[in-house]
Amino acid sequence: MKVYGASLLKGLMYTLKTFVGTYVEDFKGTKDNYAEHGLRSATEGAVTVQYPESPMPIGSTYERFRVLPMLVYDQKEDGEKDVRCTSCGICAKVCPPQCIWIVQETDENNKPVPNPEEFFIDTSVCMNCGLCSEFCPFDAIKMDHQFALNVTENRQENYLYDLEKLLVPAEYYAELHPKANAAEEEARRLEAEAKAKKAAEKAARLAAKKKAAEEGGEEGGEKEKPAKKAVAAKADDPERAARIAAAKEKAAAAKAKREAEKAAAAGEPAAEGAEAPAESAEKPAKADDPERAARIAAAKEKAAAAKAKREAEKAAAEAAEPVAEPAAEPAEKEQDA
Amino acid sequence: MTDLRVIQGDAEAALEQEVRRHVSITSIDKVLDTLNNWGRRSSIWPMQFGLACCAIEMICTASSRFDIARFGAELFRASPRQADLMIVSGTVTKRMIPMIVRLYNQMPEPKYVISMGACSTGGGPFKEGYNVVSGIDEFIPVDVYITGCPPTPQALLSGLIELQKKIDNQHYKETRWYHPEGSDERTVPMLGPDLVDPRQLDRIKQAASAEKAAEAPELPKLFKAFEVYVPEPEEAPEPEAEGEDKPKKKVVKKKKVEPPQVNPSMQAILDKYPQVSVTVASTLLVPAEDLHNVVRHLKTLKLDYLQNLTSVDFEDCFEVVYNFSASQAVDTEVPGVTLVVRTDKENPTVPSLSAFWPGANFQEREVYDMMGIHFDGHPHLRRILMWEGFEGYPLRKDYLEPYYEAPTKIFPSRWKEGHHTFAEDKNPWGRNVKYPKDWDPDSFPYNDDDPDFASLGAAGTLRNDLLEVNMGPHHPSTHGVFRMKLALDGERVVRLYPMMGYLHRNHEKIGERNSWIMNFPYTDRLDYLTSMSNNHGYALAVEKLAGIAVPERAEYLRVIMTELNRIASHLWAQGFLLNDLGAFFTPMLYAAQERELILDLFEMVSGARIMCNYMRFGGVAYDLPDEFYKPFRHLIYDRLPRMVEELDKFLTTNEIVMERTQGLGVMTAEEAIAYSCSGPVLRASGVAYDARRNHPYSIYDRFDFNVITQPRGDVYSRYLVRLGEMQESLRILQQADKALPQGEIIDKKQWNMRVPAGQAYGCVESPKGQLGYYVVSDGQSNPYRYHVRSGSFINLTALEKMCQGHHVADVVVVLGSLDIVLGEVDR
Repeated sequence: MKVYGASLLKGLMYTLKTFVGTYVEDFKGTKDNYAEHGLRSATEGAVTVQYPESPMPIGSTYERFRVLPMLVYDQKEDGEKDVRCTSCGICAKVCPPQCIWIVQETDENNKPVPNPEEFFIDTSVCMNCGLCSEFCPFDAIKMDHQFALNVTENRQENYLYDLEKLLVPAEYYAELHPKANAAEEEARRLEAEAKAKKAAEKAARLAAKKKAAEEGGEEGGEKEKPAKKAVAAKADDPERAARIAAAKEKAAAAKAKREAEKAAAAGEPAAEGAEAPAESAEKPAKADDPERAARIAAAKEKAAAAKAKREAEKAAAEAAEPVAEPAAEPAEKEQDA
Repeated sequence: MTDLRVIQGDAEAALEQEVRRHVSITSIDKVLDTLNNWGRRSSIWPMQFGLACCAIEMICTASSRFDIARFGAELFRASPRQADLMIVSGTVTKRMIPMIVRLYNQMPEPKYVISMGACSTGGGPFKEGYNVVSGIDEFIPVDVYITGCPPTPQALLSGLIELQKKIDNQHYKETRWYHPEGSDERTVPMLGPDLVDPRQLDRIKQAASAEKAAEAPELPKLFKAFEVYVPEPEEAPEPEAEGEDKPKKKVVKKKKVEPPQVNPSMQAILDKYPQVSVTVASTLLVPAEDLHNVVRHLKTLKLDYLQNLTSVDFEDCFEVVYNFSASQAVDTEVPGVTLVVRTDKENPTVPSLSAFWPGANFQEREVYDMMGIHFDGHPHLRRILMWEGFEGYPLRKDYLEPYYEAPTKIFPSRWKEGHHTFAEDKNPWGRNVKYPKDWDPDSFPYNDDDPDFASLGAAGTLRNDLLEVNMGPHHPSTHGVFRMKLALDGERVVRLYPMMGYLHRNHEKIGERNSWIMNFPYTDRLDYLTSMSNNHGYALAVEKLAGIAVPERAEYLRVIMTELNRIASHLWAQGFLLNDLGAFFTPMLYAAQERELILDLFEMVSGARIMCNYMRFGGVAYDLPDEFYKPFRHLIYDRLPRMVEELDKFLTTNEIVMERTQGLGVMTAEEAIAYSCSGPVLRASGVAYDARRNHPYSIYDRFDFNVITQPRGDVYSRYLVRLGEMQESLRILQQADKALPQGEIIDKKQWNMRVPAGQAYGCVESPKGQLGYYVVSDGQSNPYRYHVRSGSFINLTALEKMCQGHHVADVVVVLGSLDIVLGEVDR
């Protein structure tokens, strides 16, 4: 004769055990646990993701996470955007649902110029497969991590991303995909080195300078421009815009630091470099979410001001602490948020 | 008061501001709105309604890790009448849309709609298909769209938050449900020769009567004509390339193996039947009139298992293809054969095999549905994936979809002059529909579902006192949009008629237009719980055809990923089986929780939780990141074994599980083989048939693992088989982890390639059953024919057999034990 209900009780006990166990995990410090195992959850049970407040960590471990494609551009010295895409069309040719549309730029003689004139991705068709970025020979098209892609109306227009909407600065990409970016940069560096064997030294210095420019962005006036673009493009996407701005801010801060070092001799505080991006940073975010943008901007201004101050003080003595840290903080916060 | 001083210029405004500061309630409207909206936003009850892949992510959102309950939305209601929110999660097909609109109409106000995923938002990757609606908003209003394929659980939550914001801005005086016009009712579309929107009926009539000049300029489709056909392949070498297709084929063929590969089984048939000939593609061409004799003889050759049945549309004929193998012997002992039967294009007819192999039943219906080939002697030859009355046979090469653009991808319109256009704008109806030339909408019988019921009665089994019950396509226990028509005698099932196609996403038609590599991400979406296995099967089939070798490390990575995926899939199956037994969602939560950890690994390696798109021809896409090993080892050595043990401890001897599942849905070994069952369903009947053993592929021969079988063939046995397979998978994983070599992961990554002409059938043991890919190449960069042999689909053939005589409540359990996934059933 079977005892009915015994395993029911057993099951209930299990649930109870799990319930109590969650508190035990809390006491033990779940976070350490999962960091230790590289999981996004504890050794036992699961950790509930507190989504809007603290989403699942991505970091460099999960950097391959892919949602929509984006186009990477480098900042040229003169502030122009150097769109990496050469409109070779491989992404459009490998795209399984054929959601990429590219118009190749032509010069006055109707000869193709390696630049996209128009670039569309219909994100309501895109299957997030990542083949475009996998086969892009120029590291130009990459996968974004931004998954909150809600719209409430006009989905056809809103989900058709054009060049403006797709372009992101290289810093943003570097922040999302640190490992991949490092590897690619290394590869590009090697390639450049091999190519410029003849004028080895000069070319190497140029590349380094260019890289510095990539990272550093340029003076305030030009800084404003890309940020504005971001306003236009990412108006519906304050988070990403804020992140881009923050990444730039970080780079700009680094640059400011270098400049401060340079300026130390002249005893001139190099605040402008940091000021301008901070200003521009508040714009994209403000578009939709004034509260958050204000917060970010405030944090940034504060950081920039503090930094500039310290910069001026320490520049002569060559500040050891990376002054970019406080400015970078909002960026990281954004990423976690 | 400070404020007042500051803005004394505008005293009135200042006063108002001051009042606002001190008096928080300014009007009764505000109180009501605040309360009302707060109440609504915090208790959104979504409907338990999922269509496709996105539904899996929706379920994950409801499970413990993402916990939609934090937003007051955990109460998934099975009935539309109790739900506030419809999350349209997945591809909306034409066949399903009438049901969705009806469900929407049945929801009481206030009702909200979230369109989850690219498919329901704008057609998604399947937009070009002939059975796909490009956007749910063509028929019902949408409050929030979330694109992404699929949106992650967090993306769904962000959409939910967006909806809450929207609710916050509602004003009770303006909401429609407090107005006399009341509830929002939408027109239910009808299924004619294509999807018919009654709102467009007048226009359709006008267009039908008017000169159809506008529709005439359709692009002519260019086709590689004639495929492999040489009666005497031994003499094949002599004709040199003459510019025509046939000799060219031979030349291409020569490179591989010049005469066709004739294995002993094929030789035995050739010896016995002189009228059977062998083609250059190593298939046996059987005259239609001899088919029955030959297949009867196959059983004496131990070839008792009909793996796959499909058809190919060639220029000069239709070809029906049968893959046979031995269920009791390994490929190396008794190799399988591929039979083909050819029939003319005017009146294609082939003898039916369903008398010998009941498992051919649905597959033949599919061939009939997709290619219009008649099967003589088939007991019930009706359309299966599309509805009766649908115009055209979609897999025929001359069938062009409404959004048809070019014969093959890459579409020329995309690059160099890729000015974007919406496919909708090019269609006269603004949607994914087309109607036959002289179609009369008035006289058309729009009975999209009754013919099947009528025929159920016509078979003589349905008497007046039987109760007819429809389960699905919207039903919480059908694991997707699957529908069963039941004829009940009291509580007992007399007949069961499975109906499918509600998620028919035209995988094969799209697959034949895609270039070879483009199919990888599409295969992810077949059985959306096992994308790794799906990738693997497809890679195998094409590698077989193209003769591509895979580096050692890549083979290991493939095995690791597919076995992890097997565990994830079986976990899901076990959890849902318990769900179907009535232990609603609690056991499921435990299973889903562990599965999440595996998904984390997938995300780390491939970038996506469920749509991994990880494998490539000749290897895999990415190597393991350094962070992979630690959590992976923790899982396979520690956590998952413990968890499987726990499952065993709590469920295997659970008296409710035992009472409900033992002796239920029994299939004997002979029946299971005859019905072409595969996977755990077949092994639970005592047949040790596992593609990993019987058709050795990849490096499975290096691992020590058991093929788990159970003798009794009931639901409980299937549960035990899955449990055992999880343990075996863990064993394989542990061995693979220890032996994992360093090295290359892929030889050469190609974004476009040509595959030599020929045919190949590659199969893997997917967690759901045998997943096979039948591919035919004409030497181009696209598959000429691309067919998916889906375990889920064929296992359903036996569903009626399993359920007959049991209670209606047990039907749910039997279906749960088959562990079907509709993406794979309907493809």
